[in-house]
Amino acid sequence: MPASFAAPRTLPELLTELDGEATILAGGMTIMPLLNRGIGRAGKIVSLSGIPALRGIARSGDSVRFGAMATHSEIASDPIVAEHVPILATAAAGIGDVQVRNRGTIGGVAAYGNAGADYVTALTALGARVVVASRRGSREVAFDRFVLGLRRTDLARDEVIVAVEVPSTSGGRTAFERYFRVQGAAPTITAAAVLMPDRGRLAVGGATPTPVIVELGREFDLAATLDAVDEACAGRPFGDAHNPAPYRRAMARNFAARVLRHAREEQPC
Amino acid sequence: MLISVEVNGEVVTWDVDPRETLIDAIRERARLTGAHVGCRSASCGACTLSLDGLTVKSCCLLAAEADGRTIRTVEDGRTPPEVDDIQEAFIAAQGMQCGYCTPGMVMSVRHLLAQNPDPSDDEIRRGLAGNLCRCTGYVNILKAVRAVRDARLGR
Repeated sequence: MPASFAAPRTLPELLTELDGEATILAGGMTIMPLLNRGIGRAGKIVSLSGIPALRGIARSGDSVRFGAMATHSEIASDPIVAEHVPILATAAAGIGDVQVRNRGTIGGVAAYGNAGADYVTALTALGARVVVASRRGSREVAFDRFVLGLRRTDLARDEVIVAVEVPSTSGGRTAFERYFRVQGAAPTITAAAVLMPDRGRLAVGGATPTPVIVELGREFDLAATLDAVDEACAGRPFGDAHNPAPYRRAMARNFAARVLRHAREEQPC
Repeated sequence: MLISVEVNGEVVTWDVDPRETLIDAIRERARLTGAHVGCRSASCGACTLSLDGLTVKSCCLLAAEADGRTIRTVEDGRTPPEVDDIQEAFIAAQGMQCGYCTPGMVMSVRHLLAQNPDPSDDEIRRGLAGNLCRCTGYVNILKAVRAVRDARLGR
């Protein structure tokens, strides 16, 4: 089958292209290396690059709305992000390298749903929502329900991520850490803590197929929280040749401790 | 499919395949062979070009996506052996051995110094993190960038 390429200019035009067969191209930093190696088929490529409605970062009530095509470079340097969700700026700045951050997008990372991906862990801790659209209509999904398993999400073949909405953490304390073996490579472990006056959440990614979540009250016991992380990692282990599951489990505990101490402004370990 | 791009100040029209990458179009259609193909996986940075003022890895960008946009390459209108001060500094400091990565390095240094005229060693390293060199160990590359920085600042 000959390949086709479409670059719609508007959201309605995009939705008419999404027939369940289309391969959606955002920044391309995950899919292009795969296509170059002949992994996966792409008969019909639909690019999101030409749709202004998918770009931009803006306040939306008590949240910050990221267009799906907001790049890591934009997120890392945006003043709204720095003020309202600084850990997302930290997460963005640590991804890949300059050129990758100039192309890679928040929607693309969310759609791939890789274990331990910087945004996946940060968005889980932040209680983000994903806005998804198709010809059938649009819907919002809580991020921790959107990522279902290792590189498996709740996105149907005819759906596209339009935006990610993240509640502001202004007035709270937050921390994010990434642990990686080789600069530029995917992180081994990522951890994020969000401590708000009325609620708190810890997320640790990379030791399990989807992030470990521990809900935290106003006061929480550090040792008990770390034990909960450890137990969750033991229950659904994830690892590879470079970083086997027991190692990831140990690092998950360590990095959970770091972000919790950092968020509580205690001395880092 | 027909696309129209501005390459180093000149608008050209190409009939590209939907799956053709930008690096292939630049090398084979524009015959600008400064940018190299290294890994085709957005890792090595040998194919680094500037797209609308931002550095990108052109092996992982479809030519079709560059339609209507502005591209700058390492040549940027110069005819060899004409070089800019960054390329001259790479030669003087011997910031290369095989030279395969150098065009991508030069593109990243151009952007780094445009955004930050006085980068620290750490900032230089971060600015070049997307460009791999398997020969030099980066020591002479860093020397070259420091030399351009200092010369431009009159130090």
